[in-house]
Amino acid sequence: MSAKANFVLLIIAGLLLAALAGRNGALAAMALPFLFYLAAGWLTSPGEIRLRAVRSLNKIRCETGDEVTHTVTIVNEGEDTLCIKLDDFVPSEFRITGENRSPRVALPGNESVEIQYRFTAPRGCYEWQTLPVTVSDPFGLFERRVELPAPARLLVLPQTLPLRKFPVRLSHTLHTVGPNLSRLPGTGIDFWGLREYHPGDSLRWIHWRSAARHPKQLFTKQFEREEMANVGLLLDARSITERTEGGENLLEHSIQATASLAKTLLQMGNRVSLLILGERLVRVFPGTGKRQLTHILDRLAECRPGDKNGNNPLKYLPVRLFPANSTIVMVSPMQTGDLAFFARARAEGYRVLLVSPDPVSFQASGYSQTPAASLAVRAAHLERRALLWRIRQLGVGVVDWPVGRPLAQCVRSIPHAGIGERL
Amino acid sequence: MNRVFRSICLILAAALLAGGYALDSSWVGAAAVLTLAACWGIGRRFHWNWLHSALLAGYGIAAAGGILLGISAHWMIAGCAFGLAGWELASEDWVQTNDPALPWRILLWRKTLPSLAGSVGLGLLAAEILLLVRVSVPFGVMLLAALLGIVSLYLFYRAQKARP
Repeated sequence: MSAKANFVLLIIAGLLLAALAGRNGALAAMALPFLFYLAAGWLTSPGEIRLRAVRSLNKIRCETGDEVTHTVTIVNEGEDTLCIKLDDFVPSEFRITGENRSPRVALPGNESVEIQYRFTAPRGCYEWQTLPVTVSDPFGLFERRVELPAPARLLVLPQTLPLRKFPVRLSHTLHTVGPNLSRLPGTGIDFWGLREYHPGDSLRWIHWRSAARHPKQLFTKQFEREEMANVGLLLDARSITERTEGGENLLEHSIQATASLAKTLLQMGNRVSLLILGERLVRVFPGTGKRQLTHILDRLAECRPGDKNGNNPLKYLPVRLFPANSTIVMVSPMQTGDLAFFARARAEGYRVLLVSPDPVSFQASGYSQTPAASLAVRAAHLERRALLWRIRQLGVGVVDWPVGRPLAQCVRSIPHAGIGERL
Repeated sequence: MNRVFRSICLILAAALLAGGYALDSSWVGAAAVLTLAACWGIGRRFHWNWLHSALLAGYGIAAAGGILLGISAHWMIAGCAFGLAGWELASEDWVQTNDPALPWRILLWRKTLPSLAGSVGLGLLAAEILLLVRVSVPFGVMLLAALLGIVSLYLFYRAQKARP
């Protein structure tokens, strides 16, 4: 029974009680139109329900801010006309555009109705399993709720910020053609040195100036070999990293940064892997190319913060999950207890770069402008600066990123020599 | 079309109730009913859907009060019945622009209107007959019948609630 029916029942009961109290038959007679209305609803309430629903989305993967068209087709496979209303689950984060998404309609037997609405959604993985439909009499008094199977899935990928190029020189390259200078002679563009001419060397590579100085001798130019490097992205999505201020979430900035770095590194031609430390430990094995980018963006879209991996999972995270001698790029706002991870990673021979969205300046805007608050913010800034300094002392490159500034601008300022060397 | 029927029902409901009070020279009652009708119109304009049910209850109370004050029950019951029809028609936005499901919404409207007219009309007719045919019932029997009615309504409510 719906709220409408309950309300009508209440009026009838009230009128009957008033008739009894006032000993007035006219009051009881006044309840009759309500009683007949209720009876008509009951008599026309649905019998057998044979409905089928198909849910479709015009995109199954989209970027944040893209408009998605959601279409639901309901087919009445029975003979009777049914009055139906959609009670579809729409996550609160969706911004619906267009018409009413839950209209009441009368659907004759063997007919179908298509109900459509458009929405934009923030990053995430959205899944629907069933479509709740309320079937009722024409007045909507006697309702029956049925759940029709109508599965669908939508992945809203994180936005990627434009990064022109990755500013860190990646050493320990793989012996596969790539974008990084390997400090080995081979095919490339950058001049490396000279060697004696061997039969078969291209005449274009002969260094004629040296040949002029050394008669009867020829020298061949050598170039620095350009190779692919292994980069492991580590996204810190522990509960502590989820901080909200002014409708924005710091974790979303971290995810955007990870997506942007993955895109840039893969576009350069590197082999990239991903490890997400969140609700669960998610790993994308090393790979290259567009398909790898798709894998990484999909996992980032599904990323949820959480602490199911123990109290401080970063402290006990097996560093060997990343390929040996690779460069680890960690995206984390950081806290004091995380220092041990960097020490272990450096001891294992990894080069580490930390991109740290600044949680202090992110949250400072929300504090009142009192002297105590500004003093507290200053103290937090100092504490963070001290922590980052200690991380730098371990030979870790640090990008301190106030999220209000473009990431590209902050990344550009890292000193090349800072990574992998004790300052 | 729905707007026309809804307006007719609401105007008739207000006119019958206010007219009944006016015939009895209860100008305060008539003014109260007209104020309720004006509130209904304003609530409709600002999409205060909760106001519809509150105002139907208000109409019911006004009609019951009128009957207890000795005003003609015919006017009061008719006013209340039209109020019920107006409430049902106002409970939903029947037609929307650019709605792909528009044909099925019109079909729902076509199914609803005859059922509504039939049920409220029959109810009104039954009430009028009950007013014309004077039957003397002892209080004890009346009490028993009313209690039976309320218990039946409660059992009906529970049975409907238990339905899947």
